[in-house]
Amino acid sequence: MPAGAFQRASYLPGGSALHRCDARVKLALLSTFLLTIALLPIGAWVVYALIGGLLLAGLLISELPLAVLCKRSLILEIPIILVLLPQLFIKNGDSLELAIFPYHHVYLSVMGLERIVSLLIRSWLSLQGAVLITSVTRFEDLLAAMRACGLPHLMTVIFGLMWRYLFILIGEASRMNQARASRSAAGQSGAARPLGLIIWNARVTGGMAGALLLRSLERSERIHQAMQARGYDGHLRGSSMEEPLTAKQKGLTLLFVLTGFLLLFIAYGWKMR
Amino acid sequence: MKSPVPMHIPDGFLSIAVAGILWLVSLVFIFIALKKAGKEIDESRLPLVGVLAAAIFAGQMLNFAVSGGTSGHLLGAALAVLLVGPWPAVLIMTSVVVVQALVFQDGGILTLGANLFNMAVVGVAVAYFVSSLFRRWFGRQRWAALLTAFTAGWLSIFIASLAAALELAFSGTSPANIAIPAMGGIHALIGIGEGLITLGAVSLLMASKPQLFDQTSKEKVKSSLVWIAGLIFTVILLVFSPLASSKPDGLEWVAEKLGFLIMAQDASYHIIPDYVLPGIQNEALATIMAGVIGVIIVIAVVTLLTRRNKAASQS
Repeated sequence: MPAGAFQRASYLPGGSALHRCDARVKLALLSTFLLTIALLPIGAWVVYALIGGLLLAGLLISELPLAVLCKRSLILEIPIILVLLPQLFIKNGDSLELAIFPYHHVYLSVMGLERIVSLLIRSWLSLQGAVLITSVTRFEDLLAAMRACGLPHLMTVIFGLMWRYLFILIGEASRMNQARASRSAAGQSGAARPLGLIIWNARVTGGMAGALLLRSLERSERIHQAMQARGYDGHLRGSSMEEPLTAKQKGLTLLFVLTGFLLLFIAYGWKMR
Repeated sequence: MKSPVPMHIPDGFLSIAVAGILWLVSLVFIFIALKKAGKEIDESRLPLVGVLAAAIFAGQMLNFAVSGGTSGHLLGAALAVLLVGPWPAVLIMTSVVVVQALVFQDGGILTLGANLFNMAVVGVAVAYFVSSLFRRWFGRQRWAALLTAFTAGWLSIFIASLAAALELAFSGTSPANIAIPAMGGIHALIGIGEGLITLGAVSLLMASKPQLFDQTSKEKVKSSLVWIAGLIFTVILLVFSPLASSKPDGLEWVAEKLGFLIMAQDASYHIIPDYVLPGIQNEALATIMAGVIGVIIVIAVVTLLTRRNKAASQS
C-alpha cells in the first residue's frame, strides 16, 4: 500500500443525490466509466477533457469538499509509474532531440511521450472516479450491491467478516508498530553490522506478524462462539437488495452507457481525422 | 507506512484483452476455491477465513527498515498457505486484494482480475508448490519448516512479480527487456523481506501453537490442482521471462497477433542504441545492464521520495 492510502478509505457521510443513489446503480456507473476510459485511444485529448468535465460534475454533485477528494487520488504509487519511463527511449516515429550534454544528444520518442501522458491521464481519471464512488458509498452497501450482482454467498460472508474486524486489526498492528518504535527497535541505519541489523529487524517484525495472526486465530474462535450463541444459521442478516430497480434508475444507467459509447465514437472519429 | 512494492497494477496500465483474460482465469480459480473450500471450511472455520484476511491485510502494515528509506513488508500469500492450506488461502488473498482495490484504490478495478491472478492465484499456488515439495523432500523437522517458510515467501513474491511484468509487457505498457529484469530484480530483493517475516512468524507460531502445523487432516480435499498450477506457473514464468526479455520483438509479435497491445500502431521495440546502452553489443549483457540500471533508478527515486517524506514527518 502506498503511504497514506488508508486516508482514502473513509466513507464521507453526506446527503447528496450521489449518496442516496442505489449502490447497484453506482456500481454500474463506475464500471461503465472505467470501461469507457480503458477503451479510449491514445492521445484523444478532447475526450479526456470531456470525461474530466463529467467527473468534475460528479464531484460537485457529491457535495463533498473538492480538495479532500482530489488529495485522495493524488496519493499515487510512484514505483509503478517508473515502468512507463522506458517508453520515452523507444525508437518509433519521430524523436525529439534534446542537447542536454555538449557532445551527447538525448533522443526522446514523441510517440512514447504521448503514450505516457495519455496513460497517466486515463489512470488518474479512473482512480478519481473510483475514489468518488467509494467516498459516497458505504462498503456494506457496495457489498450488498455486489451480492445482488451475483457475488457468491460464501464470498459475501467472508468479505463481511473481514470488513467488520479489519479496522480493529489495523489498530492492533499500528499499536504493535508503535510499541516496537518505543522499544527503539526502529531502523538504526548507521549500525556497525547492517546485514545483521536487517535480519534482526526482520525477525522482530516476523514475530509481530506471528503474534497478530495468533491473536486473530483466537479471536476467530471467540467470534464463532458468539455467532453460535446468537443463533447463526449460515445466513447473514442485514440490508439485502431485494427490491427491483425503478425505471428511473434503469434509465440513468442506460443513459450513462450511451454516453460512454458516444464518447468512444467521438474519440475514434477524432483520431481518424 | 511506505512500500516499494510495485505489484498492484493501477487502471489504465493493462490493455483490455489482457485484463479481460486474467479476470476470467482468476474468476475460474476463485470459483473452484469456493467449491473446494465450501467442502473444506465447515461453518466453524468461516470466521477464521474472514478474520485471517483482515489480519493479513493489517499485517501488511508491519514493516521494517532495510536501508536508505526502503522497507521490507509482507504480502502474506505464503503465510496464509502455511496456516490454512491452499484453497482457503486463495479466498483470503482474494479478499485482501479486492478490499485493497475497492476501498483503498490500491490497484485498479479493471485490472483487479490481473492483480488477483498475480497475488491470489500465482502467489498462493507457488507457495503451496514449494511447501509441499519441501515437505516431501525434508520431512517435518523444525529447520525444514523454517526453510519452507522463507523459500515459499521469497519465491511467491518473485514469481508473482514476473507475472506482473509480463502482463505489463504484453499490454505494451513497458518494453519486456526492461520491465522484466527490473521488476524481477527488485522483487528478488523485496522477496527476502517477505521470506524473513514469514520465517519469523512461522517460528513464533510453531513455538506457541505447534498443533497448527501438526494436523495433516487440515487438507481434507485433494489440492493436486494447486500443486500442478504452482509448478506450471513457476516453470513457465522462470523460463518464459528471460526469453521474452531477450527477444522483446518476439513477445511483441505474439501480443500483436493476439490483439493484446493497447494500440494498434506498429511499435517495434528498438531501444535507441546510442543513448541507453552505448557500446554494448551483446544482447544478453545489454539486457542485464538495463535491468541493473532500472533497479538503480527505482531505488534512487524511492530513497529520495521516502527521505523527503521522513523529513516532512519529522518537521
